[in-house]
Amino acid sequence: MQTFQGILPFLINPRFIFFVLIGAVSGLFVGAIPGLSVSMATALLVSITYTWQTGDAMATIMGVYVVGVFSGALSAILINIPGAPSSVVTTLDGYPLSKSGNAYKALVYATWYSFIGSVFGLVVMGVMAGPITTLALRFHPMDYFLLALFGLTTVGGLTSRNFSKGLVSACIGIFFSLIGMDSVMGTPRLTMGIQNLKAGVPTVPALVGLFGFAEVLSVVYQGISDGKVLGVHQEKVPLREVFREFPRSMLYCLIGTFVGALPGAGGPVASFLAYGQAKRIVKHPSRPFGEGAVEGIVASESANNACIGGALIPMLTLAIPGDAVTAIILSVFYIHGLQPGPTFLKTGRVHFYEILAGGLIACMFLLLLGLLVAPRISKVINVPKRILLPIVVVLCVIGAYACNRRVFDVELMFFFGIVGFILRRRGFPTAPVTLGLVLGGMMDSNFRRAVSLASTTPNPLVSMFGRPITIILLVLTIAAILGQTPAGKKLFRKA
Amino acid sequence: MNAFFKNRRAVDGAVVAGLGICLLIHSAVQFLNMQSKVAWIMSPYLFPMILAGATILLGLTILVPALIGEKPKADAQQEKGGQVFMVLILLALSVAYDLVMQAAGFIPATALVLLAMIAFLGERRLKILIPVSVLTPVLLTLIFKVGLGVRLP
Repeated sequence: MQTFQGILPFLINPRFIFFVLIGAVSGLFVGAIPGLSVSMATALLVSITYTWQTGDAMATIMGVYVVGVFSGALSAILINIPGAPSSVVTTLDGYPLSKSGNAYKALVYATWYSFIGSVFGLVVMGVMAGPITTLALRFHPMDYFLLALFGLTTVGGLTSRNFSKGLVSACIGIFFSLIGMDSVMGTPRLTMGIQNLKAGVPTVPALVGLFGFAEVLSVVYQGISDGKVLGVHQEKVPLREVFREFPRSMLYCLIGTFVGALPGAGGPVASFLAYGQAKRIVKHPSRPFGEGAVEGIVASESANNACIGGALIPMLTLAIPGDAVTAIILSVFYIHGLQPGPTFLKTGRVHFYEILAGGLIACMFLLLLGLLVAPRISKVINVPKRILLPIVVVLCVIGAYACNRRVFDVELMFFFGIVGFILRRRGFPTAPVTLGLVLGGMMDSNFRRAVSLASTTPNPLVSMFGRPITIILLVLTIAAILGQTPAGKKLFRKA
Repeated sequence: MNAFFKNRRAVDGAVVAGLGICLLIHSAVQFLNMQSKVAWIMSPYLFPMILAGATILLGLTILVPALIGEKPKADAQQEKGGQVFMVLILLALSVAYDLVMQAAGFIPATALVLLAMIAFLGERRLKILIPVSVLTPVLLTLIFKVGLGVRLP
């Protein structure tokens, strides 16, 4: 009830709704166009919204996030190219269904279940944030360190087929986060004599480079090809038929929210898991899976959208982002002087409501845009990449420059773009770099604080690892690492 | 030696381990050279040294299996060949953009770079090339500078 009272003023605030709409429309196009990603759009938005009021910035970013995750399904369904990594699974059934002349039906299912998934995740976020905050208040510095480490080990294992490469990416991110003034001692480190790095590596240019410029280089490297868009013929899709999958979608939403809440996991993992579940539990699909089963679209879309609320839970309550986009959103918080974490629900309750309300309004826009605009979007999806990519480069330059108004940041953005490109080419995922970049400083200061506190006690090891929360986190982290070894994998498969 | 360089995983592992060693040496030297002798626990170089250790270990976990002939679990993207030349030209154009922008300002530099990039990526029709290159920087200035109050380079 208190939460509802908190979000109500935003739900009826025309200015707030307008900014969510701006974000939602941007998210619809950015998510739908292959080669542009939600992470890229959010990273660019961070710099643009830098001078805005926090509420306006949050509203726009939530609009982009919610609708952008959904709209990845549009190109997955219409041109067999997922607009976002989390929509890869949607292509398996979405495109075959479209090819058989049922593109509209595929879009309607994707829209409704993306809506249901997003609302589910956000409601869980609204309900669970309080209890998790209560738990988080008992966290000690070592717990924060271990939680971040657990997040990085999970993301390392889930974002790459090679666990070590995922962790190397995380280490690269942590390395960049350590450059600049040391927060504990106040001395510069790892700056290599570059004056501009004394204040640290600015997050926004780094993210714009990693997700924007690197994406452009990758697309150019792979060769520019524009997919063929299938036509959408509007047909009647009875709502009763659509909602037949509702009970099962609750399971997919649960999977999505849980996976989203795991630091580092996210939409792609959730949709794969939910799709696997759907194949197991749906005995008589409308068509065989992989040949246009709507049950496959339902599983993928409800799970990847439910991740949104799930990913926001650790970000808001523990300052540990759940995926790359929430890592970027976390940097928005820092830019606007906000401190997410255990005390956030007390000190920044209004902003918590802003995010929740922004997300729920974005869900409504998702439904409207998905049902009314998406079927007509096919021409926009097919904007020739030879025109789109140079414009993205210009947007990256604007995004990198806008925060600090330094040409150095533009150069830094190019540098991170090259780093991101090389990492992708060598099979190193870029999402862990983002998490490492955002979490590295926090890990460093908490680790040193924990060791320093423990060194003053008679038994330092017990002081550091003797508490139940710490033991649980330590066991989880060790399990996450051992689970990736051949012996660990065998053991998990047997279990 | 040639066989080693053809083994992508071995090269990746060696590079990662090498970077870790560089970080370890740099951090250790800086730690020892610190003028104010702080407790090692509070040293700013403690965490970089731990990170360097972890990176070396990870590099070895990639390098060793690659050297003893374990089957690689390559990521799909790295298997395909690509157009390195196109990427290099795009990078050169981006660097040129950065330089021209500092000398000539946002609108002329953007118009020029868009013209060059779009033409380079394969668009030859002047009726598309010229309007897109000229109108985009003007539109972006209107949207970002005038509309959203964002400072442009």
